[in-house]
Amino acid sequence: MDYAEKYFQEKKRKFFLVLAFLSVLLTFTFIFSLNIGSSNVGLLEILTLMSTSSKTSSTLINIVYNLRLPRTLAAMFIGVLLAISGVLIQSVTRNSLAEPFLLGLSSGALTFMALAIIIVPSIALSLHYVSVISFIGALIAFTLTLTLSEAIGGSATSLILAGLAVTAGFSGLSSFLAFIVQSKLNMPFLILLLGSLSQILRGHVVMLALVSIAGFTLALIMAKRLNAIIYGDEHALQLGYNPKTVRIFASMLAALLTSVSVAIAGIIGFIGLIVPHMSRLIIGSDNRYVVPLSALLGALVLCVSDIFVRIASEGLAIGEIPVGAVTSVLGAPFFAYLLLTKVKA
Amino acid sequence: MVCIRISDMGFSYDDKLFTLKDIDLNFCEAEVTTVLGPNGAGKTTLLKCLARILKPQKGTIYIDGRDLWKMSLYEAAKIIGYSEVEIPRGFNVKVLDFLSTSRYPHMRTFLESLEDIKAVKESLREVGAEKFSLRKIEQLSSGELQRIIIAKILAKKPKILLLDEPTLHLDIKYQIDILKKIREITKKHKLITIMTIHDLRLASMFSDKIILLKNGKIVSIGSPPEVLTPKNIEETYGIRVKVIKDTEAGVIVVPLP
Repeated sequence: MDYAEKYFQEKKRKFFLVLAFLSVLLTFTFIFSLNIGSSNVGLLEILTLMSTSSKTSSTLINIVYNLRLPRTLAAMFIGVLLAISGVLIQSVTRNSLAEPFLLGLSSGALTFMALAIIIVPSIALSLHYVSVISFIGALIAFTLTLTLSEAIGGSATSLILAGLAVTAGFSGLSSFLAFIVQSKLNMPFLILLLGSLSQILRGHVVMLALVSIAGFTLALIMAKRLNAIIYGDEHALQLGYNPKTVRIFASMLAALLTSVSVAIAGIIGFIGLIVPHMSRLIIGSDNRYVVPLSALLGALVLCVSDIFVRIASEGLAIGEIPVGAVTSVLGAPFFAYLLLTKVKA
Repeated sequence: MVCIRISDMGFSYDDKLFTLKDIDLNFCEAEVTTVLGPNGAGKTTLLKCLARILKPQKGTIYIDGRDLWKMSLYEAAKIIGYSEVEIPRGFNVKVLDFLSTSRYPHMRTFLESLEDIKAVKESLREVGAEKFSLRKIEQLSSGELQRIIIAKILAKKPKILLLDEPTLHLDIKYQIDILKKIREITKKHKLITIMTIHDLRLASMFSDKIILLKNGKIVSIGSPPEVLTPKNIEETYGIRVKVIKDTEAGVIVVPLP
């Protein structure tokens, strides 16, 4: 076999190997996650519960099915949403440092959500309405970032700086509004500023599942187009794709995925930055492989972060630690490292 | 079999000042045409109009009798190969990944078929770039990158090659090699090749036809000896030259002090 055939073959082989490995890892993480919590429900009991539905106590069913299972699944699906959103935004902006939180989409989504709840409090009861409003917020924030970035030169660095400005503005606004929501309407809202999976309900999981499956499928269908636009508009045009259409569609999808995750769990940053980079490190730049790998890795990283949150929260006995804090602690040094290599190059 | 006819084309970036005007041209298969002219004459604009990237406000471009702007983007993509590329940084892109993207118009499957891989390999061989096919694209030297950009066009196997300064950043050996290769491929596959070059010497060596462009208008058109006359060059570039006709080397243009 020749070098080129070998390259493409090897890549396919490696992809399936990594896919299998990550699937196994994710399954173990999933079972482990069901095992973690303040009540004394062990692994053995959960396994019996999963294999036989009868002869189990109702509290056990309650804890696992109504608390741990939804939370675990939500962590995985939100991981998928944020990771795919990261892949989309990085391709659209042709900037490997881009990410939904760093470009202001998450804060924009939360600001609009809080504002809508203050104006019409009953809206908080409908996940659909809240998601639509946070989607509008995310789109507005993204448009602002892109416009500002263009105005200050349109370089890779100006995008990050523009994102910083927009994030700062919206995170200030959303903090202010979240404070009002929490004190006036007595809703636990402040925790969303830092991202949390402590308020997941079973109903959320269905919506998260549908949106992540749809988002994943669309991103995979768009994979070739995403590959094409990172080499510039003219290259995409020559391959028969309209770069404007690709960019608008991918941006809307990224905003949708981000806003659904924000509507349910608040701001969880850096997953969209770390995960696509890990995938590209493993398999290279091709989005036909990067999209599925990022989905799996996103699920894994957020689930592990949440396990850490639950163990640490219980161990330190200080109440629930926000999962967004954990991903930021993980993500910030990673971001700094990327900045370093970027500045060097 | 392919032919291009441009009739009365005009293009303007701002709807006031025309960058290209009164362009009437015919291009035939198996011919290399070079567009010459000073900076800002409209050479790249002409290529971009032909590549279906810029839409002329006036006139029509016909490819095999069909209006270029009435074709779908996808149809045009299969026929036309143009060289503009922006290199992404930080995406861990290997040369082979980049080249495989240019097969997308032909790729019916989700992943690349053996035929796609073969086309990519062939294109790498043609520009002598096999040995850095596994390198990261952002780590190539500008000369290596230039060869990859030409390979990218060849990998698509278009009928029309539009090359904007294909010899940019290349040393003299690769300038000659690449232009020889382009000429050979044009003849062998009966393609239309249109390129811009700044070097009058290289243009005269490798072109069947030369178009001299000044301020968006065609000054002269014809074979290298017909076009590259002291009078034409003085009119276009504003410099005095001496033209030597050599039986072995063709037309040599020497600037006079």
